[in-house]
Amino acid sequence: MRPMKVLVVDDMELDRTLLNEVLTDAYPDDLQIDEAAGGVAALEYLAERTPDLVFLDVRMPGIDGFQVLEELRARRPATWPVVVMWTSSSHPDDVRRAYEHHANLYVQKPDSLADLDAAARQCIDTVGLVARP
Amino acid sequence: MAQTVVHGEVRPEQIDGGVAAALLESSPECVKLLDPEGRLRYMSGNGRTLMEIDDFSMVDGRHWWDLWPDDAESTLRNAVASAGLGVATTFDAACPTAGGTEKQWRVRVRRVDGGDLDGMILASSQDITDDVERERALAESSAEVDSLRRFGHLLAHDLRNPIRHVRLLAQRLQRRTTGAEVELEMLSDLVDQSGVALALLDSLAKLQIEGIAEQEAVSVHGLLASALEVLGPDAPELRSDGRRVSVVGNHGLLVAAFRNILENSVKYAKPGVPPVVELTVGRNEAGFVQIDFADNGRGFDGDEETGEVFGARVRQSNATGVPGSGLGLTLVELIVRHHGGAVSAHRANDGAVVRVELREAVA
Repeated sequence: MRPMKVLVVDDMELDRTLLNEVLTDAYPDDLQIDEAAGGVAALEYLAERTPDLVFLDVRMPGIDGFQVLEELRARRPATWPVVVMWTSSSHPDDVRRAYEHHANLYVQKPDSLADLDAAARQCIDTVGLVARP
Repeated sequence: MAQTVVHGEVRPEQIDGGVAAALLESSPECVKLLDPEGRLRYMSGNGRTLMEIDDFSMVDGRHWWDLWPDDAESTLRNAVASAGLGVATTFDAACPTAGGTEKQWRVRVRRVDGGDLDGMILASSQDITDDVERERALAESSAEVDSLRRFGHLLAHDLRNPIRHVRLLAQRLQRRTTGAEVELEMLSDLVDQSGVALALLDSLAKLQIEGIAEQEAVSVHGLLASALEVLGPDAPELRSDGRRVSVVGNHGLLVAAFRNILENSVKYAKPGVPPVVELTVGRNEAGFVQIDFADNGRGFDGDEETGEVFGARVRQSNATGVPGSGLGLTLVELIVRHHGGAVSAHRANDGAVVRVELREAVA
């Protein structure tokens, strides 16, 4: 089985690093993880490649996570990757907006490494079941 | 007997033995009688006062809408025409007085059916200027509150990120370090303290979104234990009368309030005197739990009657050399007020007493 392609979109380098680290530790041979440091970089990446799973931060300067999500969902549904909104915001408006634009999951960034590990594993395991050929 | 105030051809005091005039003159509103073509025939005394009209003959017989701004003419013509057809109408509009004072009016227009005034149009204008101004001020103030809430939520969000990062980095170090036990303890403290800060920020963010933080029954001694835990070795000695009671509140916010009160006792301790806080729990006449924090410190300046001690950005004159923003007690007051409670402070023989009153949780 080919490795699962994961894209981590976040303007915070530390958040990208921590998520990447946790995922790599948990699934050393099963994931191919790429990073995008913002909305523009994410759209450039997604113009050429289609990952299986996108961890997408919401509040980013320039093009934010919602704009990236809208762009992704404007494509043919068969090409939709699984999108997990991965954000510090717990504002109900953000949650509502995410699901209105067909995000698959909305996760508030965990406050501990143990929770981060558990949440990231849950996302990968779920995608592994439903989205990877 | 109603005072004769009529200068037009309609003289209500001559109708129904003066009863009609008495009724029209007793209204606090600006009451007018118009002929079916909309010409003014009568205006009550209160109406002339409200409209700052000294001499009714100046407007007697003029079309009612001629006294209004141009943009109101069609509304008034329609109202008079509708009334003529037996349909009463009400509308709000702005019209300055004869003296030029801007006013807002709620106007009711209807036809008089029967009696000597049969077929006349009765127009009664209520001065709603103050109501409109209050509504405008309220809307403005609501918009400001919404804007402050949005700002508060963004602030809580922006503060959350760096604190969360500190916590995650500390945990990352915990996993990797092979350092001495004391270093591991420090990292553990860092993780715990940043966790408390995050919980408080979440409560504040929730408060900003919903206007009210989640509340439940919380034990006062549990709150104090959490506050002392946060303060760690910097906590004062706490002596309690042992009474157990629960209040209705948000755990995170009340721990922050109690922590600030206890922290103040340490900050304002007398030099060389270990800070001690005596806790007394009681109930006041309104059925609120009353918690007194009496310390043995330097007391405080400021007018205890006006609550100056709680004023934002006011630091006590005896705060020289005391660390902090001076916002501690302001935060306490905001939190307690948010819970529908009250907070006050007064000097005692030795030190200061801060009294917090909160709703008791019914078992």
